[in-house]
Amino acid sequence: MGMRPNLSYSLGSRNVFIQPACALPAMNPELKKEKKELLFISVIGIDKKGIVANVSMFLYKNDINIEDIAQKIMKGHFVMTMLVDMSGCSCSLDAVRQGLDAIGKDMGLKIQIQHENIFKMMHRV
Amino acid sequence: MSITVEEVFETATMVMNQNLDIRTTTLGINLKDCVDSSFSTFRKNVYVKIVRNAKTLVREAEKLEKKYGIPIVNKRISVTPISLVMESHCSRQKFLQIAVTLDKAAHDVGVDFIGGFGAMVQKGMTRSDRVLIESLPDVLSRTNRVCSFLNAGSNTVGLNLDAVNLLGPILIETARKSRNAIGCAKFVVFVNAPEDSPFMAGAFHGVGEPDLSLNIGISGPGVVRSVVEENKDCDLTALSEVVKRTVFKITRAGELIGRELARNIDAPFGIVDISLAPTTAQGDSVGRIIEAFGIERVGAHGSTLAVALLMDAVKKGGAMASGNVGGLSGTFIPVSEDIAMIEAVKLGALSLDKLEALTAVCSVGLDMIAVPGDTPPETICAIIADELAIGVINNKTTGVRILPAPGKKVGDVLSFGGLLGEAPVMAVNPYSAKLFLGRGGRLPAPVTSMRN
Repeated sequence: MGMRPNLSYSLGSRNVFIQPACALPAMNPELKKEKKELLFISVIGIDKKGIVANVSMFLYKNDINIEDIAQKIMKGHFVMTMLVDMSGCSCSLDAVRQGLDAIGKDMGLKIQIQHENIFKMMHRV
Repeated sequence: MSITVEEVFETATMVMNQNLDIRTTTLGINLKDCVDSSFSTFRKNVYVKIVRNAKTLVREAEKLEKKYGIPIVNKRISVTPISLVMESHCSRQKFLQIAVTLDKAAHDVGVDFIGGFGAMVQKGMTRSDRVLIESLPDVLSRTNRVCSFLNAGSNTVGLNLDAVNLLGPILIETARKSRNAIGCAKFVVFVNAPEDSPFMAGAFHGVGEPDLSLNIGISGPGVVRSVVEENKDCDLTALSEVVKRTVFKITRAGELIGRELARNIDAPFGIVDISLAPTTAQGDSVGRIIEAFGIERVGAHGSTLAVALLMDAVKKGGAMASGNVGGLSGTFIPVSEDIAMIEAVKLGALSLDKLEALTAVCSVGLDMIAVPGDTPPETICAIIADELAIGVINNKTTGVRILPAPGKKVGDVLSFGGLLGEAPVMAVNPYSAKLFLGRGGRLPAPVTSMRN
């Protein structure tokens, strides 16, 4: 005790806590408690049958768990996002990317896979 | 706090449709500890130190490209200004030999450029500085990856005109010796040169830097243009806000990737240079942002205001996003590397004079401009001196990367292909400043430097 810097202080009647920069999850991913390896898959294109089926079948075959899924029409595009956990994945990120690219090519869609930290950094302060 | 579909869509679109990328990641390496009285030992030390520290740079950067889905276009190295570590070996032959060593080290670790073959001569030149300058035509024409810089002035000491006066003949000789004048594209003369810039050709590892430093240069003109196009009717304050918000996001992406890469290659993280840097790729143009603001062509009256707004908004967005903003951070307006700038010159919308005015409010300066092959050397020196004076007096970095195109006249085009694009040859003023420049000496430091 006593060695840890106390970053809480009182501002009038409000208690303010300043989160040290090193504690931001995006800055220091190894501090995260859970062992999940979360990535976002974004699928952009024209809506058609089988998008969810094809992508999720591919993920299932590679032991990738879907944590969350959402879809929307934006600026005339069909947009689907999947938050996936790669921690149990049976192949490399490279192979997953290539597999998704192949599905994208087949179905005329743009599919992108990116680690969740990039979204946290860009869209959360 | 989950990420929404809109946010994922925005980021994915930035990469897929708007050319968002990390333009460069540059590992700064200190070479001061390589100095040895034996030249061959010194060369060996330099090679070993560069290869030892940079051997994982390209591989680790490629891993992060895949993890975050954002391309890291260039991987580069910058080193301690070479004239400094060559003080006891200064002959033209040895300068060429050490340049060959740098070229080989860069090749062997797989980076496309290595910067730092240069000198700090803002107040005067040592013998080593002078010999380095004399060696430039051979070095720049005989090596592929070595980039060179000169810092010829600063707002605290003024402008070293004697050094600038050496450059006209040197650049003409460099252009003659290298194919398509390409050697000149690898040399930039600065005032107030930042010691941590990751961008070539002017990157070097300053003397105040640690042993290693990983710097990141993030770009994204296409992303900014896209949001400007979506906000056609807003006033200048709102427009500035829109640009700021976007730049904030792309700077954060750069900071994340820079920090992680630094950790993975075991080097301290240096800075994020948030500069909008164009390429000739479709949609990757700074000129197009100016046009999206509502200027018919870059160079039209109103362009200086537009660049000023853009530049300021970029800096503010970047400053909010990262505590480590450094380098040049602003907006580059190179002619040959930006399709809208090339078009504007060809159409007569953008002259050298207007470009000089634009550089008073943007970062860097007269960048990648081709002038006729028969331009007198003193006129090249005068173009450089004018641009550098803007930096000295206005407390900012300015630089010149000028290509005297052998055998070419106004209206001809100097084509490089790749990142360097093509430079339409621009007209220079036919009247001479020979007598004025011939006075030599040093422009005294401006009165604004007296702050102590």
